[in-house]
Amino acid sequence: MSWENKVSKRFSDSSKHRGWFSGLFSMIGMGVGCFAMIVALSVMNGFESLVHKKLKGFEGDLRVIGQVSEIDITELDGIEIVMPFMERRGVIEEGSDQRVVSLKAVNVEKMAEFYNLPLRGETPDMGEVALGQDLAFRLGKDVGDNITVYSPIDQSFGFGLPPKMKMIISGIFSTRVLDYDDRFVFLSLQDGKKLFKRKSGLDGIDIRVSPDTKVSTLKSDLETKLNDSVTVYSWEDLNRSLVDAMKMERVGTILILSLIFLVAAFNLAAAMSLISIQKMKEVGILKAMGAPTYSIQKIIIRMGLNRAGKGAIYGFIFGILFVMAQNQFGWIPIPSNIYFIDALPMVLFAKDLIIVIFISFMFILSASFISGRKLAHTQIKDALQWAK
Amino acid sequence: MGKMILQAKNINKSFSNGKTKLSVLRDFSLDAEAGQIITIMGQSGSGKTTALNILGTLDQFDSGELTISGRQVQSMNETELSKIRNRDIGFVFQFHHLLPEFSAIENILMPTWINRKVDNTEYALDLIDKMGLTNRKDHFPSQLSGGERSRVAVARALMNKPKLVLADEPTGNLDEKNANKLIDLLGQINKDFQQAIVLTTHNPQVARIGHKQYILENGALSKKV
Repeated sequence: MSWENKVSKRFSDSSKHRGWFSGLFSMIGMGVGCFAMIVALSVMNGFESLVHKKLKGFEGDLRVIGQVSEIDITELDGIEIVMPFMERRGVIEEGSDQRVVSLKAVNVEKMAEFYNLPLRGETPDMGEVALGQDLAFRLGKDVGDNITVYSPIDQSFGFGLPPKMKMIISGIFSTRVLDYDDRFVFLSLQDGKKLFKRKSGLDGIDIRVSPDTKVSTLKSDLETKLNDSVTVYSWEDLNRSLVDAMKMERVGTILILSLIFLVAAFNLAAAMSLISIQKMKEVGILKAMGAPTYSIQKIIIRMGLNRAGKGAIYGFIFGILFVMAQNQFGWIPIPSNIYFIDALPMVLFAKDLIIVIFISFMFILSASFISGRKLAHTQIKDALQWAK
Repeated sequence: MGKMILQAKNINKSFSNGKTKLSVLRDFSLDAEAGQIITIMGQSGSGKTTALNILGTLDQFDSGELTISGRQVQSMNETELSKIRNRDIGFVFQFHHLLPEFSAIENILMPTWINRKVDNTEYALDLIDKMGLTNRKDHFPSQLSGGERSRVAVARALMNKPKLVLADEPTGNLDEKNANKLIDLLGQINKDFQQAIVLTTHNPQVARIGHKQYILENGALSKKV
């Protein structure tokens, strides 16, 4: 143990009753701050993971747009499954009511394997569609009902009218992601080719990456392998605004919860200033014995760490335990009909723990440094003459 | 002739309250060699403590030169001054100034800890034995008598084997018996360790132990005839 540690420990022990109220509040403040930040970040992580999972479940990890063959892609390592697709703006006609939708023609045989869709009914076969529950609700349709679909831009040259197809609703899905349940209609590639007259080739291929492969690495591999006429997007690129909004939300949460640390730091600074005055003479004695200014500063900082650091560590431990307990026992329920899970999701990442520790200790160090600075620079003769 | 440890040349020091300027030391010059005891006698308020604070680098002076162990202190920065205070100077204060949170032995060891030297507990125990405080080593300052505190303060001043010991009225708060004991001890230390000792006092009896005896009057130092 360094001598500064010994001195700060003894000084802390002897000044336990001085400024204990502010000291206690700074300790509680740091603890509450750490706890709140860990819990808030882990809830955000939980919901973000849920959204990521749903987005990836609907779109895959990567999307290649352009004329590309399925074989070129599947040759690469790290690809779990691919889904070729055609996508158009389409219209669902129901009497005089018309709704604009996104028609996505896919390989229906692989649909259940590729998409993670909570589906009521069956995956569509030829002459069938699967649509989102919001869209079905607006149309007043259910599984087994008929609808008429067409793609307005794919007009037939002979009559100037697009081909219309009467199709049966085989399934209704509910993703609860963005407006997908109100927009998307899945159909088979064969039906797609009949509807989309203007261009019968594939629009792109969705790719699901194997769990041990990094999406960004596979994306660069694909960009290197495929020619310039195709573009590769990751699921993050496709949902850039959502991903950015979630990042911004995280920064906002961290900033707002840091205010708890700020208030605790003010309390700590008040307590440390009080102790600094009480220890003025002792500091003078130490400096007369040759203790350098930076050692005095260290002593004050360690005293601050000793007070508020304890609170931060307790808050940190309780925060982690709380998250673990929620994941284990699911104490806080959420409505499963909205979120598809029963309990509040919480996920802790190491980087978040580092952020919490870093912010809390930065506040403690700053408060101790500022309040101890004057004391460390006091003239020795003035300090020695100081009467408590 | 011993090695020159301390040289103060024409040191001036004054305090100002904005309007009036009070001159505390005027052309204060003093030399101290290894093995010498120098006593400075003066009335209260004559500037003894200020002089000792300046010699010990605890206070700054307005003009003049101060050399400790061959190094001019006015050109040193704060870190270098701290090192000089720790390694070359030992202080014995009138009010002992022991750290109340530490036991007698810990107080004695403190200069070594600050110096980050290897554990020197054996030497500290030797010193405490010389001071006759072996059975009081684990007691805290509040559990010691005035005389015992003075002896702990002396042991602490000697801990880093400094070349110069500055004692500011070390007997000022002691009864005659304890004062005589402390003076004998300082004489003994001077013989054993060959340190230069500069001691201030207002007691003529104590001043008599000095190889060189000075009188400080109105900020000016004069040699006692």
